[in-house]
Amino acid sequence: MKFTESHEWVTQDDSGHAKIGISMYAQKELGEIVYVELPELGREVSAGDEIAVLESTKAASDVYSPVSGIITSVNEALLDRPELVNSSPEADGWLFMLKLSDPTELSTLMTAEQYQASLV
Amino acid sequence: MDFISNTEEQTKKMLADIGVNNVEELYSDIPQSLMRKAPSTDDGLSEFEGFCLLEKIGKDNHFADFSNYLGAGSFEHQVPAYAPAICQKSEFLTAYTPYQAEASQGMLQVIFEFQSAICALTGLDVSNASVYDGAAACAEACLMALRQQRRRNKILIAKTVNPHYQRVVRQYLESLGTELVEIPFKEDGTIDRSFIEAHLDEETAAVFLQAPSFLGTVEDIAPIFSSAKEKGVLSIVCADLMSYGLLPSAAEIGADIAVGDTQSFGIPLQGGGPYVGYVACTQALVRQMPGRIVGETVDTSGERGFVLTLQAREQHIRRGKATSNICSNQSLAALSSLLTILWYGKKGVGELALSNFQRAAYLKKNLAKISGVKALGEATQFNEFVLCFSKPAAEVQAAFRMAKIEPGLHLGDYYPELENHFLIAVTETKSKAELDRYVEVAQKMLGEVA
Repeated sequence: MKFTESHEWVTQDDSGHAKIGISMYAQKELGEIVYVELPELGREVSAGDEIAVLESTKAASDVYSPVSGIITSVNEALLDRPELVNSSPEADGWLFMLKLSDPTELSTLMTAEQYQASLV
Repeated sequence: MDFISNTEEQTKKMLADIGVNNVEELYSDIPQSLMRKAPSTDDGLSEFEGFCLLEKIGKDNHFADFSNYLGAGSFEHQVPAYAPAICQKSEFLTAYTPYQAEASQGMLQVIFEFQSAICALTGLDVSNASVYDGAAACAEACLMALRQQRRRNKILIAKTVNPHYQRVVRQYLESLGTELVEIPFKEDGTIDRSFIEAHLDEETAAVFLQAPSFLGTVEDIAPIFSSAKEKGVLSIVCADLMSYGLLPSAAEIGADIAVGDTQSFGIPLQGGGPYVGYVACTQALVRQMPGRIVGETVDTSGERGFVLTLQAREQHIRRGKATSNICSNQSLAALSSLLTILWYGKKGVGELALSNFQRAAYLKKNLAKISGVKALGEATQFNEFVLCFSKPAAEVQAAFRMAKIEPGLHLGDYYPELENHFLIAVTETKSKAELDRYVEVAQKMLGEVA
């Protein structure tokens, strides 16, 4: 699992797809998530693009795509249960998957240790 | 005190640094003709003299002596006296939702009740606290549809939507690069359905109709909205709020968004504004709703209370990414509409709408009997209809005005193909005697002896 400075995480599978969500730290900072706006399937995104919106009771925050690619799936469970982002941000509360267009981008991101260190 | 606190010395230094001699030089690009003239030293009129002058000018205004049949979005209805009496309470005399909104529970309750009335009349799930006017509501509805539909960037808008509203919609959308396709109307004034069918494609975000249309026609638009839905196109309907008292609700005809003006309820003509725009939508679109929404809740001791709801999408939190940049609404005028709706009540609103319909039908029927008068199409109307007189519009207007009647809106000014056609509005304010006098004047004008 790799992390960004803007608190997204990304994992890669064997088929060249990446799964993206927000970190445990980020969900704590945002507070209770009440609505998740997910990207459309098939959308082409570049690393750093605003791709989703997490709405809490007091704010709405953008999520940025850590890597480039084409959106292949979104976590539809969040439409009914946005609270999954709070209870399980790094597993069941994932946001979307994309087909990586440049897998080397992953190497520019932080490791879990580096990310933890950056939070101090 | 000056808002700019620079001393003369500081100003001089700044001017020297940028290489200009004086402040006026900074404005040298502005043509002299646009610059403000030096204020006159004339003392003008005293308060009393000014009052006399205005009274004199006011005497030239004879509109109140006329029997008025102008409608077209601004309708003459009776406003119950209790509405202005309550609106004038100092607690309500502001157009704004207060800062520290929740401290003003009375104001929030008014907005909540207004929203409830809009939902009841349109049949839709959610209403906002109002927007500036019907035209702004139309434009906001288009923006809602475009946000929801993301890549779809085309809107089909009927030519029979109020032309003034269309202009505002166009102004909002033209800089966004949205394609606005005008849906033509047929010779009988009804919407060209085959045109819509042919244009409902994957690029189309929404289809936008007015019902009853600007030409007054009442058509069954449910089938249009139903085929729009099949193509993933959102349906927007603009309507005079009062028409819902008689006609199927926006929800019943399958609209996703209902917009329009509430002027018919409790807001005098007052020179064209301020009026109140309403926006209602389905639950599925709630996060695209512009402006403020007030919700009902309970406080820590379980008492009913009201709060601003879904604020996270608003501009004071989302800044440039806000759902809309509307934060004002028309609370005071909206209150007047709300009070009037409550004055009539559920049954009364239906009876009022029916009375509008019947009076309009009576005048239309009796005018159509005159040779030289032709109705536009067979479609039924609500409280407005279109007729063509066999004489030039200017002559028609002159003849009616001689009899102290303003006969209606000449449509040739808006639709060249409807030269000499008049849009005639009849509300509950017109007695049978007045309507009969209209017919008499028309008969005389067209050479038929009454």
